[in-house]
Amino acid sequence: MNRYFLIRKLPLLILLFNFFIAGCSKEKNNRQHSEERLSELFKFQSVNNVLASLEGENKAIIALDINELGCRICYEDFLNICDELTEYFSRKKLKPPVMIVIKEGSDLGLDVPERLEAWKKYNNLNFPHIIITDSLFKYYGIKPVMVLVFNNKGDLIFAQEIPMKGKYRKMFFELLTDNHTKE
Amino acid sequence: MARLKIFFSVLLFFLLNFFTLDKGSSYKSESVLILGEKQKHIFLKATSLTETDDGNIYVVDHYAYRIKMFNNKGTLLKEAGSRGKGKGNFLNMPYLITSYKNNLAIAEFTSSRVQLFSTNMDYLKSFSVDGIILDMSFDHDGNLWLGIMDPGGKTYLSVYDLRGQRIKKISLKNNLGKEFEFGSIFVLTVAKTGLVFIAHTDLNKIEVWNTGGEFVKDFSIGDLPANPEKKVVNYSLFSKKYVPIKKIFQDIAVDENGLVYILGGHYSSNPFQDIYVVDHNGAIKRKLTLPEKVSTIYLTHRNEFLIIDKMGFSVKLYRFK
Repeated sequence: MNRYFLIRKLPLLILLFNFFIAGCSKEKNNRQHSEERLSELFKFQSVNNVLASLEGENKAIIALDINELGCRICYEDFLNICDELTEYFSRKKLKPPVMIVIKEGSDLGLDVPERLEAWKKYNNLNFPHIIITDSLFKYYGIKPVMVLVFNNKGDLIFAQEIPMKGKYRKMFFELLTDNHTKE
Repeated sequence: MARLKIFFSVLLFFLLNFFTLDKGSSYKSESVLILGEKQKHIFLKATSLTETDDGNIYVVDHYAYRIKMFNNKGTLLKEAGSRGKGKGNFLNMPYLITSYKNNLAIAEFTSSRVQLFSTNMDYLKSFSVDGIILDMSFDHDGNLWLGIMDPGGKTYLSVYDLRGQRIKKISLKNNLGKEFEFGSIFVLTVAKTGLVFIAHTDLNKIEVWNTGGEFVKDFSIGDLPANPEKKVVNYSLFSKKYVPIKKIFQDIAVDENGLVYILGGHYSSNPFQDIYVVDHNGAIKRKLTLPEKVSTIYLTHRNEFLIIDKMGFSVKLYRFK
């Protein structure tokens, strides 16, 4: 019985184990790759021709994905964060290094320019925005709703989902100010 | 002989059902008005609306933090509200609206605050109720009937006057079991006849109460299941907690003659399009089907349907012929 088991089942088990190992390493590679490419994304002009370059004016960029609007608490915190950023940087008399990333085909239909303008107007959002596709969202591993901060080299140094707790909020503003003042 | 009787009984049953369905589909709808038609993308997401005696229509634009006022020709007359902490501003996104004479009552999402505005959109006052507001409607004495969820997740009815004083608290007859994380979410409407109709979104039950706070009766809609699908949201060693993941009913409205219109959810033949028209005893009078999926239905003084489409992008007026 044991011999039968070894002959018939062991190769199958080994095969499954190999698949598991391969899956784990692929996931790790994907994650690393995704983080690298996420910063690269902002070096290129977006579909709506807003320049979002780490080489340009925005030394640090925050991507705020407002895709899944089913989470209204997330959405309200997103607006609160935008308000805090505007206030914080206007106090420092600096231009906020902020960019909003919107998924094409979002629940609010923000890929329609008129709707997007109305949305920004109603919510006093003065940050530039880019619109990227759903596949890019998945590829870069952006989860709704998220804040991302990059350093001057373009490395992703902070990623936090919204609603964001106090200690992360503090960390987020500190990182952002550091990045900005190191200009 | 007995077999023949059974055969003819079954045949009769199917024939009756067939003719009932045929009768339902014979009502045709036509769109007669689109609010803001000339100004495309006027709503970021409309969630609730009401019509006042002068025929003006007020719509909550949830993600714009605005209340928008239209005349009966669909022209935008005025906007009010914005995000903020001041009087007449909204801390949370506005979500529900209902009207009584010159008063508009507005509730914010996941909030216990009711704000009163005049029909000219001037801020009047605000007051807090005893839990999160699920739905609300005025009765014909100007008392505000509210579906409430308390911090423990229990749901019930509360009645407030315009000064913000609670008049009644009513526990409903039907609710979800203890294995559920929250009590039953429900929508409500108050008829001119003095009856209050409550549709549980997660139970196939319509409850009828009178404005005196007495239970009248409850009934179900035969075509629909008793409970929707559920999923586990909270595991512990000894128990599981569930939440419903689909809806049996989406909205409820009542016309000038006291007929009740119940918008079916996921389990209707045409989800979020079928409207079951019933009398106060629960007898189905007809079934209407809207040409698009909707989230909200409202009956105007002329018994026409004002609807908000499922995405909340548009508000339309439909007439059934």
